[in-house]
Amino acid sequence: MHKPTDTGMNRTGIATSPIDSRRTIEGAEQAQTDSVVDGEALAAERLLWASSAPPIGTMPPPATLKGVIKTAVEKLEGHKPTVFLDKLGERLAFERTGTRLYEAVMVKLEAADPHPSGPSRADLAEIHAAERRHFTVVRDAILQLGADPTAMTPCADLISVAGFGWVQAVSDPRTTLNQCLDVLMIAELADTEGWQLLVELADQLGFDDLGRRFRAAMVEEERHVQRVRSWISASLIGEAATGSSHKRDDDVDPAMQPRH
Amino acid sequence: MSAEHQVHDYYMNIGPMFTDPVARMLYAEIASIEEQHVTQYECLVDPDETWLEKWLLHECNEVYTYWSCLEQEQNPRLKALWDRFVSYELGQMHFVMGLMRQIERRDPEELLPASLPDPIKYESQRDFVREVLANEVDLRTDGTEIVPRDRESALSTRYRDQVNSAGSPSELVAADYHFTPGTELARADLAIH
Repeated sequence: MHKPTDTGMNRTGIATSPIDSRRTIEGAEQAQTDSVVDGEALAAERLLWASSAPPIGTMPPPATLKGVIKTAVEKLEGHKPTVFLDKLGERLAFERTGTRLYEAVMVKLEAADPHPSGPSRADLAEIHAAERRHFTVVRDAILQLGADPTAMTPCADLISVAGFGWVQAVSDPRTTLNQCLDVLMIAELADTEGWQLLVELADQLGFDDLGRRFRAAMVEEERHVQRVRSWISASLIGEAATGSSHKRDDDVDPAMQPRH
Repeated sequence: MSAEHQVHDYYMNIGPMFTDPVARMLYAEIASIEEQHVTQYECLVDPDETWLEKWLLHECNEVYTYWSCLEQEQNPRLKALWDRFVSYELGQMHFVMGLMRQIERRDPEELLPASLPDPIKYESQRDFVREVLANEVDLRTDGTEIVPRDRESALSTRYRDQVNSAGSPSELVAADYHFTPGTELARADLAIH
């Protein structure tokens, strides 16, 4: 089984076929129209649409207020509570995706022959559990504010669309553990920033208890970043130093994929 | 038949966009079922029907569908849109009526209903769907007949055993799914109130 960093039959570069590529370039030059290729016409068309487009979604109306919830909601008076709730919805969606990403990477690990300095199953399971716990932290916060955590808020919608590529990358049986660690890195960095923002919002709105819980999650996310970073650098540096080393082989053989 | 073609095309086009092998297999399985539906509907087509008859009835059906939308739409912007589409379809139907008179030398009125039936009800069909599911989930086949489970033919069982000999993606997916508000991540601990 080849590793992605082995030399193979990659013919995507134009240098693979000097004669045909020269002909293609010449053909394009001959067919060139007089228009200036600066993308301005495209940008103008997109501007037209962007100027009149409706939002991708709106916030749901508030759920029924009772007891403790009311006290929490009163704190939001004078503020625009939907801004906070929209970002909480985003975090909820993000932590759900984060949990899924780690689930997928645990399968990768099982199918791979990982680098000794890479993550163990226990490492991944620990972070997976943390992501899932963060999901419940956000869900409880939304409930506390009297909102419905099953609602898809506009920011939640957007972050799910943006994160779809990550899910696609880690779900592909051909991607390696190392490649997926890169995806986790991007997600963890964005996650840390997201929690930072929630901490600031909670502090500003006077939700001290929420602020404390969010800060604890943020600290955990910062540790995730450090751990993923250390796995990536350890295995990449190891691979680069040993050339096509037999030590570095985290290829996923589809035949080895566990059958459920 | 058009609707079945459309769903078949949908699953065939969208399935390969997923990287998850389970999702791809699931969509391939559903696409093959939709293909069966297409074939079943094709079998019901009257072989003596002319192409112009098909075309005319198709246009008439489109008028009926958009008219149903027009009748029930509350949003004025969308109502105007359906109104325009009904007009388009009426124009196309009259074009085909003209072709029928000209080419087949027939009166298209003979094929068209004097009035349209009640509009398709665009409302919740949950009760209907639940009822159909409860009554029909155990139906099987015996040749061309639809029969209760205990009368399924050996041929049908053999076909199913062969097709699912390496497992069924839909059963794999369904076995791990149970609807939970807020997705199944919310299931194991605190229930949502």
